[in-house]
Amino acid sequence: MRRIRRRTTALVSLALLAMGCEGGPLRGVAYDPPKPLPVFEFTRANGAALSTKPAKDDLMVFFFGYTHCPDVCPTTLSDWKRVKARLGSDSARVQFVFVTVDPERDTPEVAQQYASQFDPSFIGVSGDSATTAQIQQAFGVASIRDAGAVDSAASAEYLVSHSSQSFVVDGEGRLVSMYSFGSGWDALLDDLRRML
Amino acid sequence: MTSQPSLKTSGILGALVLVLALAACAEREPPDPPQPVQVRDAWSRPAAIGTTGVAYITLENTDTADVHLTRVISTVATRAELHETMDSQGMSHMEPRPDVLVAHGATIAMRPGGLHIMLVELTRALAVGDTVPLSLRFADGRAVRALAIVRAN
Repeated sequence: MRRIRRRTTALVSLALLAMGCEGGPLRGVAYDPPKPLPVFEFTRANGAALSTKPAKDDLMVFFFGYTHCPDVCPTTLSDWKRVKARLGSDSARVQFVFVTVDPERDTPEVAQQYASQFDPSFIGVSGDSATTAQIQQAFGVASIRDAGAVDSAASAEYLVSHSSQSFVVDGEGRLVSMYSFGSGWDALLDDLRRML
Repeated sequence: MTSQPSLKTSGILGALVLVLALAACAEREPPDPPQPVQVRDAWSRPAAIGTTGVAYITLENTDTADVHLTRVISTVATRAELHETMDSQGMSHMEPRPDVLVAHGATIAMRPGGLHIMLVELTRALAVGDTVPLSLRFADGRAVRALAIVRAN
C-alpha cells in the first residue's frame, strides 16, 4: 500500500515537473510582451522576394553579420545547423535568415552563398543601405565598420563590429526572443521546440 | 666440482645484455628532443575560396621560459592574422593581436568567440575533412608546424 502511494507521489511529481518545464520561462531572453516588427522585403539572389514576416504558425530565426567575419558569424550559423538537424521534420516550419550588415561587399549572391555553405536551406540576404539600417533599428541591432583593424594598406579590407545575437520572430511577425552569442545552441533549440 | 650457473643467474645476465643492447641503440639513434611548445586540437571551419577562414589551436608551453607566438603562415590563405573576438554589451568586435604570450607551464586554448587565427582570403575552399597547414613562428625564432582539421563544429 505504502509502495503504491510512493509510486503515485513520484508520478504526480514528474507530471508537475513536466508541466512546469512546459510553462516555464524561455531559455533565451524573452520579449515580454513580444515586440511587433515592421515587415521588410529583400530580393534574394535568385530574384525571389523574402518577407521578414513568417507564415502563420511558422518561425524565423535572424542573425545580423557579414561574410568576412571569421569567428562569430560562422560559429552562429554552424550552431543553427545543429539546431536545424535536431528539429527534424519540424525544421520545415523554421526559416533561418542571415542578414548582412555589410551590403557594400556582401551582394545578395555573396550573402546567399555564405549562408548556403552551412546549410542549403539557410537564407542569406543583403538589402540596400536604407533597408539594412531600418531592419537593424527594428531589431535593436548595431554595426560599425572598424577602420584599419585589418591591414590598413588594403582599403577594401575592414572588419565590422556588430551585434552578435540570434532572434526569433513568430508567425505574427513579432520579436519573441533573443539569444546572446555563447548562450548555447541548445537554448535556441529548446525554445524553438516549445514555440512550434 | 664445476658449478653450473643457476637459471636465476642466466636470467639476470640475459636482462643485462638486453639493457646494454637497448642502451647502445639509444646511443646510435637519440630520440627527438621533446618539443617545448605543443600544438593540440588544431581545427578549422569549412569556407569558400576567396573568403575569410579561421583556425583554432591549443598551445601548451612545457618550456621553462615564456614564448610569444608572433606570426602564423598558412598555404591556404593570402595571410594569417592573430585576432581575439571581444564582446561588449552584445556587440562583437575583433581585436588584432600582435602576439600571443604563452607563459611557461601554461596552456592557451583558442576558441570560437575568443582568440583565433584569421585566415584572410582563402586560396582554396575548405571542406569538412580537409587539413589546413599552419606554421607557427615564435619570437625566439623557433617554428612549429601543425595541421588543422576542417570540421563543422
